[in-house]
Amino acid sequence: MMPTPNTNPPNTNPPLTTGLDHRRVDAALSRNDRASSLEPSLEDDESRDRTLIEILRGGEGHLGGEGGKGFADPTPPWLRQIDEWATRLGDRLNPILVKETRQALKSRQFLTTFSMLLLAALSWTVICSLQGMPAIYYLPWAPQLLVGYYVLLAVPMLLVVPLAAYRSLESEVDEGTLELLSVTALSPRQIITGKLASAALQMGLYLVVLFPCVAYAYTLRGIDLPTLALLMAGLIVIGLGLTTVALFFAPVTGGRTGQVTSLIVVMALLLGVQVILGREAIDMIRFGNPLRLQDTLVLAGCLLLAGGTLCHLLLTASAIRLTPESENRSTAIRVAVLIHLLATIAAAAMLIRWFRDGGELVEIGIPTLLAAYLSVFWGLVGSMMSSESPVLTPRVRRELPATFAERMFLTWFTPGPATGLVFACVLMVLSMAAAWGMMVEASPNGSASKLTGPRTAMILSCAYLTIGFLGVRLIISFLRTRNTFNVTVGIAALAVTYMLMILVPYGVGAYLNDFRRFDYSAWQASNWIWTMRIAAFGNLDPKVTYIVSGFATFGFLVHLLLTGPRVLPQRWETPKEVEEEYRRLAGETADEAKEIDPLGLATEGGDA
Amino acid sequence: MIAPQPPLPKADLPEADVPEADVPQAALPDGSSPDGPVPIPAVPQPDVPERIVPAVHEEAAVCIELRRLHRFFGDTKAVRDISFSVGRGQVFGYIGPNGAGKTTSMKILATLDLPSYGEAFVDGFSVINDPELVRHRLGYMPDSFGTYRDVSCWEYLDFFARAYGLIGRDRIRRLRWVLDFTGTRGMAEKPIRGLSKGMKQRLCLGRALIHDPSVLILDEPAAGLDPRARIELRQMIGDLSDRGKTLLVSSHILTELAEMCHSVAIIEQGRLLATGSVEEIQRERKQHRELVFRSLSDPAKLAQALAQNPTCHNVQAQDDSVIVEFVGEPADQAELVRGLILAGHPITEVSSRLKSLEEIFLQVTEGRVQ
Repeated sequence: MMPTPNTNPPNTNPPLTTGLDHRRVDAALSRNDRASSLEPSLEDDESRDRTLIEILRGGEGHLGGEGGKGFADPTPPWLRQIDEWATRLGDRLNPILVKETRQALKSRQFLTTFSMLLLAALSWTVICSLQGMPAIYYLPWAPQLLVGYYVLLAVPMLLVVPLAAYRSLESEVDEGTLELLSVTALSPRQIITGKLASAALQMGLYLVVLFPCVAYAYTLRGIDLPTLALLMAGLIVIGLGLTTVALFFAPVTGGRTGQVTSLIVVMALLLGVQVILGREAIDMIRFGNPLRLQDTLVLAGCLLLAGGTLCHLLLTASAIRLTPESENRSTAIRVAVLIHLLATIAAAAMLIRWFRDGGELVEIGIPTLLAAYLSVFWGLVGSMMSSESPVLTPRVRRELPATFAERMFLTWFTPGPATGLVFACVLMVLSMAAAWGMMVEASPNGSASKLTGPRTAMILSCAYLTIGFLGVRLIISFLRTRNTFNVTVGIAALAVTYMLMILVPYGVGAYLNDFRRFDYSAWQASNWIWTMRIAAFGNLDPKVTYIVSGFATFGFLVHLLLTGPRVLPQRWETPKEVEEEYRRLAGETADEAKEIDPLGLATEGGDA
Repeated sequence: MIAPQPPLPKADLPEADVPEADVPQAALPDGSSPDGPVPIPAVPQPDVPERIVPAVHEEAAVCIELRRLHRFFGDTKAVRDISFSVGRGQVFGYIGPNGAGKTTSMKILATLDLPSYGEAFVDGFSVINDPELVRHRLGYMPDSFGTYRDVSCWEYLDFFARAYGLIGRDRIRRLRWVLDFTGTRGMAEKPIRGLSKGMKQRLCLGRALIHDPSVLILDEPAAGLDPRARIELRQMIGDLSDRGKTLLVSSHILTELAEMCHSVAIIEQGRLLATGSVEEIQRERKQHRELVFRSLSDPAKLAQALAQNPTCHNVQAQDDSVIVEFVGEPADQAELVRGLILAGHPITEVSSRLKSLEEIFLQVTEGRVQ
């Protein structure tokens, strides 16, 4: 039953009519107009608008008000110009940052933390200085003061701000405001980065509070400037990293139990980092940096590279959690994974090259650590990629690679469990090969082909992970026939696969040996824990390695053959009307960008 | 290699939900993939005729359209095969008991949820495939008022204006208009948490209007408001309709909906029971019209005469009048009155009354919830 079409005119921007007392507004405006004849800079529309805001916000007195004595703004024109530029630049800021900052600066939590920090820093300065008298005049006294400042600063930077960001995003979900944000033009990434930017701003404010105190401490000798800078920069970087982790956990779980669990995890993580980092930082303050400046910079750069890209991956994942199912939620993650992988390998290679005199700790330790990290990383990431939904929505199909070259290189970035599994397996093998290469390169007397314990473990972990992903794919495709769920179920499916791989051969072995102890044999090849343990000690029969890796390769190739047609989906045409509408919107946005661009930085076609 | 969108071969529905006989006239969704338009599990597929689907619908007069919308949450079927359309500039009432599926289908329209099957369009754009384009022209007011701590009304509206991409003078003008329209100018500097329910609803409406959308979805906007606030809200909705906005309004206060809506849809247990204007629904469902006759003679005689007429039911003689439930067209009614006068009944007054929306609602629904 179709309702009769209404003959009302189409939607237009409605005129200002209803509701309020316009006379008051008009009167105030005309007063301002009269006054502005003496102030040429107020004649433009924007000044009128600003005036209007003041009126609407009850600031009529500022303009002279009823019975006032006319406009008497003493602000010099150049200051007004700067103010205007600042306002216009403010328009380009992330709205979440603007909102969060407004909220944070008025919140009881911020005011309390800020005042407590200020008070505590002043008290510590006075107490520690008095306590050190008269030694403070001839002995280096900065470390004593700085330990206190570090502890004071670490609490808001590493605990309060990340928790506030966590709570902020969680409350958006809890109180239904996330729904309101979701229907706006804001993208999920803007929401997440807005929260992060707000956290960074708060950290900056806390740092500013302690800056005079830290400067005072520096004058008391006992600490060098690079160490001090490293300490402060480290605090900010780690604080931002922890905020990213907190934001990652915030929207992950639904329900009260999930929220409490994730809060406990985040709290434990924050406190753990607080304690570990605190110990290291205090040692550094008291005894100085054990590394040379160049070494410190290289180490910090490498850690920053790997950690920064991991944070980027976590931020992308957080944003993806807020993205509707109908959109492409995989490609961004895969790109972030690739970036992180490249950065981590580059960082590890740089560390090995720079610290080549470090002996076995560097030669074997770094590649082994890298391989262990890659195993865990791919276990989590690969299982989730292998459990993606196989359904490609029309929206996703519109964005699939179209040309031959695009399909050659970008197919593995498109959503779906088949492409996910291939992407994970190929990159996993390549990244493990990189770790292998580092081990070979760093090892002074090792040959590339020799199967040492760690190298065998690398091959086996690749093979077991591939088998695990295939198991995940099988379990998930079975489960998906009746249920919908998110990709984190893939991790559980991987755990189930691995449990079966251990229990089945071990159970059979135990049964055949009348439940007595029995030795490892090739029949236990799927028992990955036992096999890896034997391999780590270098006692594994190479046959087992070949069997496991051969089985994994065979499974992977069969999967590739079976899912061939699926991993080459055709791109669908975007409806003409939709394309036109997007073009129209892009044009409008570019116009708006030009309109607000105070410094003439906007480029043609750029977005605001 | 770019291919045109293929037609939908089969609907992805469980056996129990094979669309029933009265399949709506609308074509199948544009964005349907071979596995269904949205990621739902591969369940047994019933036979649904193949049809080529248009990319966007082309009826300019239709502003909101739901096509065979389904939404399942596990075993719960929140929305089952709902189809209707709303013309541009109309106020459309969405009525149903609690748990009927109103909010679910409204959330789908607002791009906040995805249907298990089916499609929804706003201004011709699919809510599944082009949510950005839909959001650009849609204002949504949920049944719960999402507030922020430590934020004033001005800051709240300013934030949402920024979030909708309004900048510079445009944003200020729009804020000014919204504060004027909703009558919240005096509250601009007050913190939201301290506002009354009525003022919060106004502010919420203002937020939905901030980017000047052509379509508004208002979920229970009058819930918990006092009579004056309800009247003011009704006036605002009427005003918006006069300005060419299309409104989809759900409410439990049916008398108000009847007054402001051009047409309504009644749903229960996720199924659409009736749609159209109140009169159309009455006509469709052969609703009884209540007729009151007053006569100078004995009402019992008149009642006896009326009881013999097949169009009259439940004839009741009262003090000086007779009340009957009449089934028929206006012409039949005229014929009945003519016949009575010709039969010599001294009739002084005949009045008729259509059943109210409330009565229709009670008659159409069964009060079941899922």
